[in-house]
Amino acid sequence: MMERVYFDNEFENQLKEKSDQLKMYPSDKVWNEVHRSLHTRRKGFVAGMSVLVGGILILAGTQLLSPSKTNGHNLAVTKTIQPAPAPATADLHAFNPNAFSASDATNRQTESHLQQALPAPFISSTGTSVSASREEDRTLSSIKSEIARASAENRLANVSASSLSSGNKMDLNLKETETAPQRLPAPANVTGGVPESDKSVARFTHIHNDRFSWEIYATPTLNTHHLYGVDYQNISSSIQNAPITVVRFANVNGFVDNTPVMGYDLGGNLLYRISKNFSLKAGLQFSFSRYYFKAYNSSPSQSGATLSSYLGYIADSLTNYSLARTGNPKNPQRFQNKYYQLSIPVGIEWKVAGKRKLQLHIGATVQPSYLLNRDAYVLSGDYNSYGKDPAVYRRWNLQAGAETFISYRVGSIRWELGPQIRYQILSTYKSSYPLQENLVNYGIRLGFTKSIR
Amino acid sequence: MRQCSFNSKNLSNLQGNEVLMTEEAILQGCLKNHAAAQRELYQRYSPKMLAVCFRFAHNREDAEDMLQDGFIKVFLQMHTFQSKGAFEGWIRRIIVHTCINHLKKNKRFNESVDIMQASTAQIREESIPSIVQAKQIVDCIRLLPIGYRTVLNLYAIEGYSHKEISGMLDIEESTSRSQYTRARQMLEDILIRRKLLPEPKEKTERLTAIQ
Repeated sequence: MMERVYFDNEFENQLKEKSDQLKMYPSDKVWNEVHRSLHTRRKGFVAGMSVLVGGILILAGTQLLSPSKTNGHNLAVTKTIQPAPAPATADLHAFNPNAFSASDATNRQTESHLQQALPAPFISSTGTSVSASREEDRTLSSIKSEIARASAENRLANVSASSLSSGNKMDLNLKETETAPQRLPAPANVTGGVPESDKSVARFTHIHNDRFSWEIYATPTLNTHHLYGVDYQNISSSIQNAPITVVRFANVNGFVDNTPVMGYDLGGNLLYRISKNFSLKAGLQFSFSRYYFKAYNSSPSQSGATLSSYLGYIADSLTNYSLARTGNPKNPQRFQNKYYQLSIPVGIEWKVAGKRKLQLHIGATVQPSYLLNRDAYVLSGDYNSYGKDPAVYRRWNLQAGAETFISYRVGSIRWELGPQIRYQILSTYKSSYPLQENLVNYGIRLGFTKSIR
Repeated sequence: MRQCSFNSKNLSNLQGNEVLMTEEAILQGCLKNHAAAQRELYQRYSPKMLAVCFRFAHNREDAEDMLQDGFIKVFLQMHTFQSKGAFEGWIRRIIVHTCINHLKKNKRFNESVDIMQASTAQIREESIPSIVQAKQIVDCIRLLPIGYRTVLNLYAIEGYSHKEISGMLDIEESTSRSQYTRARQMLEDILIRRKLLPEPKEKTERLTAIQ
């Protein structure tokens, strides 16, 4: 039996003393990553998400939480049009837009009628009759203020005239809303004073404001990417003789092992209907995409990224170490590349088919995007290893999106569901880098739209 | 913690108030998220903390990952530091916990439990070039199976009690004790083989002498 070299605590004390004397100096990359985490990525992510969430909340707040204000506004406009000499009936084809002029005389007459109409009951833009006295009082007070403001600005007739400038719109919109007011029999003491023609004009006014709508959506996506490498066979013999790593594979996609993974898109759009079937849209979108690749850990070594200097790319420094190498069949590990992007989708939607409730749409967008993080692994130019080199990544990019979806209207909200595809047009890496990576996302989009009134 | 001597050297009277004030300024700068202060703090403590990580990690690459995550936590949790204790000790605790979390996340510690329970644990006879004795000793510690190494690091060097270790590693307190005993015995053997410890005499010889 061996005698113990040290008594209790003496061993630990010496061990601690000696161990604490050791100092090791980390590579620059550690501080760079720490600094980026604290200042760059967090700031960009928080700012982007704040803008997105804030915009959505403001829009949702104004549209969902305070609908009574818009009702009051529509009522004011309705009453403004009441005295016009047009034969306003349920058939809007009989309307003569010229009958509504913006003359001062009409304005004065209009104001007069408005004042008379104040105590009268009304029909809201959605056709709902209001009989509760408290609600009526509140709404009437808002009407008064609206009339006073409108009169001061002398713009009521202008609103009427511009509203009637398009015959197509009138025809379309009347059909969409003609059933709502008639379904609800209003109490006699409320609706008795409003002629049928007023209801028609009210519907028309409502529809004029329906051109704008907002949209919020979430899309689970399946992310993958396409890699394009340099055709090394075309490299001149003089370069082939240079002291560089031997390239074993020309087809980069056949060499690396990538697995698609789930990501997601979140966003909101503002839509503007330019015709019966077409709408323009623009918005803000946050995308999280990722994919796995297989490699194996290796001891620190210089990444092959510098190889590409022969092809026009000059790395920022030689301290770019590879964490994982490709090609070893033994003990491979799975690594994950994540991308956080903010983008501004701008595009068009086409209503292909459908009636009021159920519709089929096709859409396309172009999306300028901004990459929030640059800490993903990049495959070296010789396809031999992965490393991290933020300088390789392109911050601004361009994406193209296409989608088709079925929409179904429930109340004032239209729900949407359908597939979408998004393709990154420019490479993830700068053009000077010999490899090109294009991200492709396939997803099922679930969203809803609501008209802005 | 069983031992609280992490900072006694750094904050000794020899260094005076100037260093303490500078440290206070760094602390305040970090609280305001100033990059210069963060950089200063990092430069001051990262060499020592990387050595701590290196004792726990599988390789230097892993140690740098641990250090990176640990310092991000340090900066993000700076507001939780109360000036009651030593600053370096606070940083060190965060770094150590980060190392343990890394080992757990990568399931390396769990794998090593099996190794620990095996009576015939293999010692890697690697040749690691060492210049100074401290480096040689750390290299010897790193030759231990990772489970032994973790318990030994926590108990003998970081000063955690077996009860604390059992909580950190999700093991029984008795297990921590027994593993530490084995780890210590194995380390002593390695140190003797590397000529870093004098070879002990046989107990029988000692008994003979007494007689």
